[in-house]
Amino acid sequence: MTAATATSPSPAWSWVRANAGLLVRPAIIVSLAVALYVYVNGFLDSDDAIFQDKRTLEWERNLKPQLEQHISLTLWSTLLVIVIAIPLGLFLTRPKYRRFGGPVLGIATSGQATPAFGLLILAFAWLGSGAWTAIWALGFFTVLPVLRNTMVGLDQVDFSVIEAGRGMGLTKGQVLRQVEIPLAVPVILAGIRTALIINVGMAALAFLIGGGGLGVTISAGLKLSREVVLLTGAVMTAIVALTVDWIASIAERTLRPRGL
Amino acid sequence: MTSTASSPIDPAPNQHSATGVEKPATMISLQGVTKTYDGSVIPAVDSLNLDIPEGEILVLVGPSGCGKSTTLRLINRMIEPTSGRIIFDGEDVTSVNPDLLRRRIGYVIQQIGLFPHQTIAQNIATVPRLLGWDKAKINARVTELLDVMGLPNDFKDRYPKELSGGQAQRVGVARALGSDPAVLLMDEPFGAIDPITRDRLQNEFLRLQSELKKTIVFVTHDIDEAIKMGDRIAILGEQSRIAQFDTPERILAYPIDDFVADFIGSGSTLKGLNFERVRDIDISTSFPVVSHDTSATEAKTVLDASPERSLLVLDAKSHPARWLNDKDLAATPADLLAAGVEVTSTLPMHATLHDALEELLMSNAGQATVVDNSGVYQGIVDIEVLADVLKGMRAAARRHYEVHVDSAGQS
Repeated sequence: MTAATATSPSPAWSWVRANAGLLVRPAIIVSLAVALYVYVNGFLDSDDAIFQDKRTLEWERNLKPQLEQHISLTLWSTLLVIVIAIPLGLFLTRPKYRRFGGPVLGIATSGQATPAFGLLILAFAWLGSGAWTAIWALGFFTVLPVLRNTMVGLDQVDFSVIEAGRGMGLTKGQVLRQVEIPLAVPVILAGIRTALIINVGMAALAFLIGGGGLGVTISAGLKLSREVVLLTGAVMTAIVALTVDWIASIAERTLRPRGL
Repeated sequence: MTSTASSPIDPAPNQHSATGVEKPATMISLQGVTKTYDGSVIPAVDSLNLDIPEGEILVLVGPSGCGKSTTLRLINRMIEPTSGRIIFDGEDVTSVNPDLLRRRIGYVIQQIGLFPHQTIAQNIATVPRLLGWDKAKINARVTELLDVMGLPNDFKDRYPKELSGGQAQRVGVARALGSDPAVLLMDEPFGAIDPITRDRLQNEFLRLQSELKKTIVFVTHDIDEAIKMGDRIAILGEQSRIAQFDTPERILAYPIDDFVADFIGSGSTLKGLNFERVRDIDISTSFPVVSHDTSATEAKTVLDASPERSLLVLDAKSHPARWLNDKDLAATPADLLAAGVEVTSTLPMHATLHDALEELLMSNAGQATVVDNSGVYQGIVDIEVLADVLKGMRAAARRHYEVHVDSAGQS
């Protein structure tokens, strides 16, 4: 015991070593952002830049609000999914309601099987244009990974652990809260992370129904045939996606119960 | 008339149970308990009457599928009985809140089922936490239980995945003892553990039980484990029908029918030798023994007068020293301690007859020499003594059953 403490490095250093993978990602993201900034600034100062380039790539007027919209589309739609899919998953894994699991999963699967573009248009036809229409459409699209992972996560809990808990006098609710859910957390978190990533990508299409987001810049780049605009939109979307995934991976590590 | 109406199900004395005199008070009583699963016509457990004696280990043993686990799970109502009554410490618990009932009964299963996301301390504290004990009391109890189970105190903050199988089952037992329940239900607790560790855990558990005196219901399919662990054994057949309910000694000495005889298998006589100790039997005193200062001719007279082929010489401290036979004495040795064969091993008084058998088979004289704690000669165990004891055990068991069957026939 004493020998182990003597040879083991400080906790801070061992944390860094264990999480080295997590530190590589921000480095990539920052260098990507810096490279984009340098390239775009250089281009806009050169003679090749036209008026439309400068107009579309104005930070305060266009890029910043689009970035904020993009992030809020992602977060709200994911939150919506969490609020719907996790309770639904809990409900559908209770013995009494298990028989509804199949049909509900079927509906969720059809949500993801529908082309994203089609789903946005359907939502537009039903709810009209705007950010919230996009959020509902994204939410419906990503119910499946969270719902399925919640159900799988709860089902994979070792039955003997539940049996032991019940045998000691934990009520069904206590077993669910104190045993089943904590043990399902890693799988549920993986589902939420998947939903987040899908939502970041899908939010780039929200502009189609007036939802805003970085898709606006990408589409402008396409319409104007301006490579610098197109590239800026695309790379910024990628940066958002990488950042969101990085944060999600940290959350996965921190929220995972110890001992698993 | 009124008395029969008030108790529709007689607490029928078990047909093969021990007599009332030696049987302790009943802690749990299953009365006419039947379990029929949905969609099944044949009950898994059919009107079972079972009195579980207080402060003892009752082992339910039987072939797989006989319903022994179901029976165990009926006691804490993990399985709800279809009909019948369960009396727990004088209280009818057939319809009380099962969660509250289970907090009063320790439960150990083969797969252990420790909560992997909780530390060992949190696992052991499960029931005390449910019962609302304060932190200091819980902490003291966890420390105490780790100590009782022979686990180091720094296990508290470890997680179950860091434990070996044997350690995990010790924690499982500690968790079941968390709130110091009077009753412990154990479903093949040592079944998934390697034989060496299992043996150690069994011994530790028996030592623990000799202090704790819990009422324990222990399920196993292994008759040897049943004989080792049980103060009493219930051998169960199909649908949890009790084939024989008795002490291991009597079951081994007198299997009631072919089913039981088949189940306990061959070698039951030898197994029975484990239950008798040398100090409890009459050690043959007619064996020829002489002291070391006896003359060779005198010793020869003693040997000739006895039916034995050799005699034992004791040294100055009355410790067994040499075996001498006819030929050794014919040479009329001046010092008896220099002649014959040395006594190389002896048997203590607390040894079992099984040890005695092994000893006498190993010794070249064909006898086991018994000594007390200070090594002073006490007597001899030979094959005739063992045969007499076994005969006596069988006769006693048979007499017990005949008396019981007779009195049952009259009533």
